[in-house]
Amino acid sequence: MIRETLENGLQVVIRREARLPLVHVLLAVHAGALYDPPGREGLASLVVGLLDDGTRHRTEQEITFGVENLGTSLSLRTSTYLATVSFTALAEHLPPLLDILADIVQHPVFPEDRFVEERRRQAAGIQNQLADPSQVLNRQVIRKIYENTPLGHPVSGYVASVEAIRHEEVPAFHQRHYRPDRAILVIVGDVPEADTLRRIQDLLGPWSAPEPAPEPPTVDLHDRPRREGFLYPMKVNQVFVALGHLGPRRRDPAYNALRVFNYTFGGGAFASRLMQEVRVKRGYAYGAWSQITPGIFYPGLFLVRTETKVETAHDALALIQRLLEEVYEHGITPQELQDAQQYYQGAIPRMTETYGRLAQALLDQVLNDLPDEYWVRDVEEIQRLDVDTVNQAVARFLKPHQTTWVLVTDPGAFDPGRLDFLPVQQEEPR
Amino acid sequence: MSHRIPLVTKTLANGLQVVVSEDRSHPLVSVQVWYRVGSRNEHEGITGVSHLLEHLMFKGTRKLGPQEFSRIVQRMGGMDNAFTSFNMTAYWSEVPSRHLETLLQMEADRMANAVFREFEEEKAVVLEERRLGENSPWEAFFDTFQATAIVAHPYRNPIIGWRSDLEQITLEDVQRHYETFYSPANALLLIVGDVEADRAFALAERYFGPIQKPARVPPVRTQEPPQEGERRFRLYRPGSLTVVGVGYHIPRYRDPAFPAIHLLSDVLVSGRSARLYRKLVLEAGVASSVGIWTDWISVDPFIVVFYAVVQPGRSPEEAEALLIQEIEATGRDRPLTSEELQRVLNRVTLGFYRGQQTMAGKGMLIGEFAVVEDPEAVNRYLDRLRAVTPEATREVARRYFRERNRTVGYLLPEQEAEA
Repeated sequence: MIRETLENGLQVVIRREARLPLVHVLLAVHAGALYDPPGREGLASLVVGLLDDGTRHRTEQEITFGVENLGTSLSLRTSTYLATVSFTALAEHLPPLLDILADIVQHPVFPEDRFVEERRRQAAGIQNQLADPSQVLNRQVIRKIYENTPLGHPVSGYVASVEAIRHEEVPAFHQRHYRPDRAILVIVGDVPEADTLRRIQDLLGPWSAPEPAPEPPTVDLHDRPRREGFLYPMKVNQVFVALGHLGPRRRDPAYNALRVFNYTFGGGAFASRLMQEVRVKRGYAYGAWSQITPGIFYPGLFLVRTETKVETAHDALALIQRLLEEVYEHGITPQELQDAQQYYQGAIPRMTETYGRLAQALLDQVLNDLPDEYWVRDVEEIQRLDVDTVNQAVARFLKPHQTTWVLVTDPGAFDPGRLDFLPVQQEEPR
Repeated sequence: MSHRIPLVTKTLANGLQVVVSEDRSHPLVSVQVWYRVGSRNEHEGITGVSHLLEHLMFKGTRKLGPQEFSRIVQRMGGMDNAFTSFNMTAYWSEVPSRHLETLLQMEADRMANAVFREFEEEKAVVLEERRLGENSPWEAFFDTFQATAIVAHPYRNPIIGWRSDLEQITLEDVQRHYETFYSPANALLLIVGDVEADRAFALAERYFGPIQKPARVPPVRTQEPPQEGERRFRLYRPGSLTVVGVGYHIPRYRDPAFPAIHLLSDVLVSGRSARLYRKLVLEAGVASSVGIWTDWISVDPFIVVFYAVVQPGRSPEEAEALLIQEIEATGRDRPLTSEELQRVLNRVTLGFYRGQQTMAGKGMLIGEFAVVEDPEAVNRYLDRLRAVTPEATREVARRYFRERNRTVGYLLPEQEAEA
C-alpha cells in the first residue's frame, strides 16, 4: 500500500487488490453540508451534483459518455462532513477515468442553465421526500437532534433555501472548499501502485490552494434537558418513529465499548434486544434497530428506529423507552458481551470484503487518524473488554431521559397525549 | 479476459442440485438454498404465503428454537437472511469458512424439519411489512401497475400478498406450501467460497442426501393472454409526488428475444447517458429522474415499466408523451447504435465482476440464473447479449414496445383527485 501526501496537501492512498479486475476510486473533500451558509442549506449538495456538468476542457456530454461508455458511472454525493466522487470500474479503464475525475474536481464551469435545472430538480426532490414517511423521519430527526447548528439540516436542504441559492454562490463554494489540502483520494484495485501514484501527481499535483484552508465551524452541541417528542402529521396507517441523542466521535476512547452496547441493544439484528422484544416476541414491527454514527469533528448520533401500526404504537413506544432505561440502569450481560465479541471476531474478513468497503475503511483511517488495519485492532480491543468497562461506558453515554423523539403519523388516528412518558408537540415537516 | 465463474454441479439422488464455486480470496463461505417457489406459485386466497413461509423458516426446527439459526450464524461472525421474489425463495448466509459444516447441517435440517412456531406473532410482523409498503407511494404505485397490466397470471399479485389474504392465511396453508414446494428436487444448494469442491460435495451429500421429501410441485397453469389494447390507471396519494409509468409485457428470460429487451431497457434508462434521462430530464426538463421497474430473470413472461418523476409545474401528459416517443422510437427510426450496445456490454461486464466481490453476492449471481435455467447460465449470459445486433433490437422493440401492449399509470397528488 502507498500512502502519500502530495506537495499541495492532497492525501493519497493506493492499495493493490488483484483478485478481480476491478478498481474502486473514492475522492473525498471536506465540502459537506456542514459548510452550507445559513439560508443556503443544500448548497454543498448542489455543487457536487454539478461537477460533471462541464469543465474548462470537457462538455457535459464528453464527461457523461466518456465515463458511461466504459460501463461505469460517477457517484456524486454529500454527507454532513464530506462531498465525495466515487466509482467502481474495470481496472483497465482507470487511466481515462482518472483524467475525467481530476478535471471535474479542479475545473468545473457550472453552466448557468444547468445550475437552474439542477436547483429545480433538487427542490423537487425535497418535495418528493416529503411524500414518503421514512424520508420525512430521516429529515426531521437530524434537524431536531442537531437543532440550530450547522449539522442540523438535511444535506439536500429545504425547498426555500435551495431556491434562494444564486448561481455565483456555486463556483464561490467550490473555490473555497474544493482544495487539495482538504481532500483525500483512495484507490483500491488491480492497478500498479507506483504508476498510479505518478499519474495522480501529474493530474492532481497542479491542483492549487490559493488561500488558507477554511476551518470547520465552531459548533456548540447539547442534548435536550429532558425528553421531548415532535409529531409530523401524515396520512399513513403506522407510526414511524425515530429517537436518539448525540453520539460519540470516532476517536472517543469508549467507541468500541459503545459498538458492543449497540450490537446488543439494537444493532445486532436478531441478536439484539430491540428486535427480540419489539418484533419477535410481540410482532409490533417489521424492523426495530439502533445505530451509532460516529462524528469526525463533532459528536455523532445515536438513533433508534421502528415503525408500528397505530393500534400497537403506544405499547411499542413505551416498550422502547423501558428497554433504554433497563440497559442504562443494568447494562448488558456477560453472555451478551461474549456474543458480541464472537460476532466481531468472525466478521473481520467481511469488513473489507469489497473494494468499496476497503476504500471506505482506508478513508476513515485517514479522516480520523487511525492506525493501519484499525478494523482488526478494534476487534482485538473488543475481545479485551470486560462487562464492567462496557457498562460504565453505557452509563456515561446513554441518556434515556434526554432523548429526542420524532413521530410521523396521522394525528387523527394516533393520540400522542396518551404517551405518559413523552410530551409531544406537533410541527409541519420541512 | 475470461468472463467465467468457475463452478461444478452435481445432482444428488434425491434430486437436489448442488453447485460449488471455489474462491480462496477470503476465508469465507456462502451457503444458499434456493427454492423454485415464489408468488408465481400462489392463487387468490393465499397470496403472500411464500413470503410468510420464508419468515416462518426462521422459527426453528425440532432441534433449534425460534431465531436460533440466525443467532448461531451471528456468533460465527456471519450474516444470514432470505428473500422471496415472484419466482423463487432464497436463504443465504456468509460465514467464516471453518463453519461450513455446521451451516450445511442447519440448512438441511431446515429443509426437512422446520417447525412453524409463533405463527400469529410472525403474521403480525408481515402485516407490518405490508403496511410499510402501503405507506410508500412507490410500492403502492407498482402494486397497482402489476395488477393493471397483468390480468390473469399470478404475477399480478404483490409478492407480499393482499392484506385480506394475509389476515386470513392459516398455519395449515403455510404447512401445505412447505410440504409441496420445499423438497430437494425443487431446490438448488449453492456453496461459494473458501472450500475445496470435493469436500463441499461430500458434506452436501452427508447432510442433504438423506432428505426424502417427494417433489409434488403443481404446474402454474395460467398464462397471461395477449393484451389487445392500452390499459390505464390513476392512483392518488398524499403529498406532491407525481409519477408517470409506461409499461409493456416482455418475454420471459429463456425466450430468444429477452437479451434484446435487456439491452433496450438499459440504453433507455441506465445512467446519465440513457435516452430517457437525456430527453426528459436534461433536454425537456419535464422530469427530475427516470427509472425502471421489472423482475429480469423471470420464469414466465413479465412486464417492464419505465417511469418518470414529473417536475412540479410540468404536466404528466407531457412526460407520458415523451416516454412513449423515446421508448417506441427504438422499434422505428431510432434503433440502438453499436456504441450504445457496447456501452451496455461494458456495464454488464462490470456488473458481473462487481457482483463477485462478496461470496454471498457471487452466490446470488449464480443462483438467480441457475434457478430459472441451469448453473452455467450465468456464464452464457454475456455471450447471449453480445450476439444481439442493432437490427435485432429494432425488431424486438417493434414487437413489444407498441400501443396494444402498453399500460400507462399515473401517481398523482391526492388534492388533484378532489379538484
